[in-house]
Amino acid sequence: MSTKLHEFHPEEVMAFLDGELPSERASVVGAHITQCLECAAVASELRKVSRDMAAWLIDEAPQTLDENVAAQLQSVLENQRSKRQRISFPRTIAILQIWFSRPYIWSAACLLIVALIVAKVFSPHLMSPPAHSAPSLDSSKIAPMDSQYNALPNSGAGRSEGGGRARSLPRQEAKSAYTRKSRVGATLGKIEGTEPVERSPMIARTAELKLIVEKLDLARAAMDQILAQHRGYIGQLSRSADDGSAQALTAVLRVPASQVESCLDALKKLGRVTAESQTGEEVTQEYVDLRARLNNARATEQRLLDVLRNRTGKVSEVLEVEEEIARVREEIERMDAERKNLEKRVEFATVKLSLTQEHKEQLHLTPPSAGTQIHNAVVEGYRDVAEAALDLVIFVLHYGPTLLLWAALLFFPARFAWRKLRSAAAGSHA
Amino acid sequence: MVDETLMLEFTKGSREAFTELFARYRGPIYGFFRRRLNDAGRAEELAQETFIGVLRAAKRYEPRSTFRTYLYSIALNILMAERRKASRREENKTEMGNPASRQVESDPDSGLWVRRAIEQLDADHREILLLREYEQLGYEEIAGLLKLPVNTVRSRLFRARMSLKEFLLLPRPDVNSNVSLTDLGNER
Repeated sequence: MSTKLHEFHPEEVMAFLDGELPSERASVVGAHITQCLECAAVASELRKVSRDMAAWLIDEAPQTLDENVAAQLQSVLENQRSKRQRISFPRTIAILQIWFSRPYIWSAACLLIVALIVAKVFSPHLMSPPAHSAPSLDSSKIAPMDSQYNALPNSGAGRSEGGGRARSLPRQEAKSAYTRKSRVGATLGKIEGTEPVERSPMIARTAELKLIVEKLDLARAAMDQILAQHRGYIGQLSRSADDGSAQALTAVLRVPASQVESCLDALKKLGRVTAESQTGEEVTQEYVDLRARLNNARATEQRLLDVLRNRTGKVSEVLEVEEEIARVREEIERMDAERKNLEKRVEFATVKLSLTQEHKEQLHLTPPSAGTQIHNAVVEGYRDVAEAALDLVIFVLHYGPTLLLWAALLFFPARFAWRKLRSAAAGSHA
Repeated sequence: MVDETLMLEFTKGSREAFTELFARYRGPIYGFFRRRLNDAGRAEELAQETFIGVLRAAKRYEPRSTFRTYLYSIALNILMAERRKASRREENKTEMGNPASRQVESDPDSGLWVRRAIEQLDADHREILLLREYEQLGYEEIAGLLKLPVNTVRSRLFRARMSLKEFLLLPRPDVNSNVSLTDLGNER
């Protein structure tokens, strides 16, 4: 069929027969088919094809299909029902809404809240853990650290300062050192292998005391005696004695924490107290954290040593392990020094003492000679001139540029204004 | 009640709604697979799978298209999977063209003749023709299922019908013979 003579393509005829054309187009095509033999032939052929295809019939769906699908349907519906029973969220919400719409439910809830608040307010000890009381400084509970240090093997006489012990001390002995009973280490609680000790916070005490004394030398000697009696020592000392002003002495004293109160009382008697202050910094947590980190570092060191001992890898790996061991040891030494510093700060309180001698002006009965006075006058005059000249130079250098700038900005307006005034004055006189 | 409403009722838990839908489509869906597969048992299984797929996906059902399109899209996906599986197994060269297994039809000669003629069509043309003639789907529904433009569907459908017409005009040989329609066409 030629489409050139027909405005309707055969596909459109097919679409018309299939009912796929819009109604307006369908009516046009339908009218055309009744008048066009070719399009009618196409339509006839298409209808025949459909009829022939309709001859291909198939059997009915078997009954087993119905049974199987019904069984699946039953299973799905049961699953849905069980899910609804487990989580019936909308139903739960509805029930809650019904419950909370009743007044007595709200009343009971309010009474319960009030009871809890009353119990909290009036019986705090029932709700909160017992508070720890602050330790007194002059108590003997905090034993000196001497026993701990001196009890260590290979520790030498007296106290040892600074790091380095970790390197020289074998690990097993160092481990035993940490397990010794220590009053300062009591904050760590029960240490394995030791008796349980009472927990007490670690306080680093600092005191400041300013005195005015009659004679500074005598006060200095008395201060030394007081320190010796209380087993303290001077951490730092400085003294000043300017002409014409009061002599002063400033010292930083380290006194055992148990002795600081009696020491301060003794120092106050040296003169008149002009200022006093005391502070206590709790370093318990810091100390505990430090100990924990130190223990971890030591464990790491031991593991690395084991790796090194059983080394089977390349040389480069061995070097890496050794580097790591060195780093860990450095860290251990640093933390150990920090730990000792903390212990020292707790064991020994810091007292900043300032002694100032009362200043009395000297009476000069003999006046200076005339020559001396003239000499002094000439010197002072020269000094004054020099200072004045210097001040002038400094002033010019300091303010000169700014003045010049303003002068440049204001010169022409000022001149203009001046000329106007002069001409106005001249005009009035004329 | 329209199909979409029944499906929505089923999503809310109505057994009767699904039963009604099943009653409406059990035949067409079975026929869909029966005409495309040689094995009646397999066709029944795939039809069952189609309805089970509807059951399981009920919660996610949204009436964006007609229920019929939705149902046949599930069936078509299952059919495609079956064809891929069959091609891997290489059971049959074509599903429809195994003369050794004849199905029992109401009019065995005519039906077989039509079936063999349809078999000669291109796969794309054949599918469109089947969906139109037997599943009674519209052009747009077919286009949506096969993801083709509507005009493509129309032109392919026309060509399929014209080709089938030519095949059906050929003289029918004995149905027990192994002479193919292609051979008949060449003789002609």
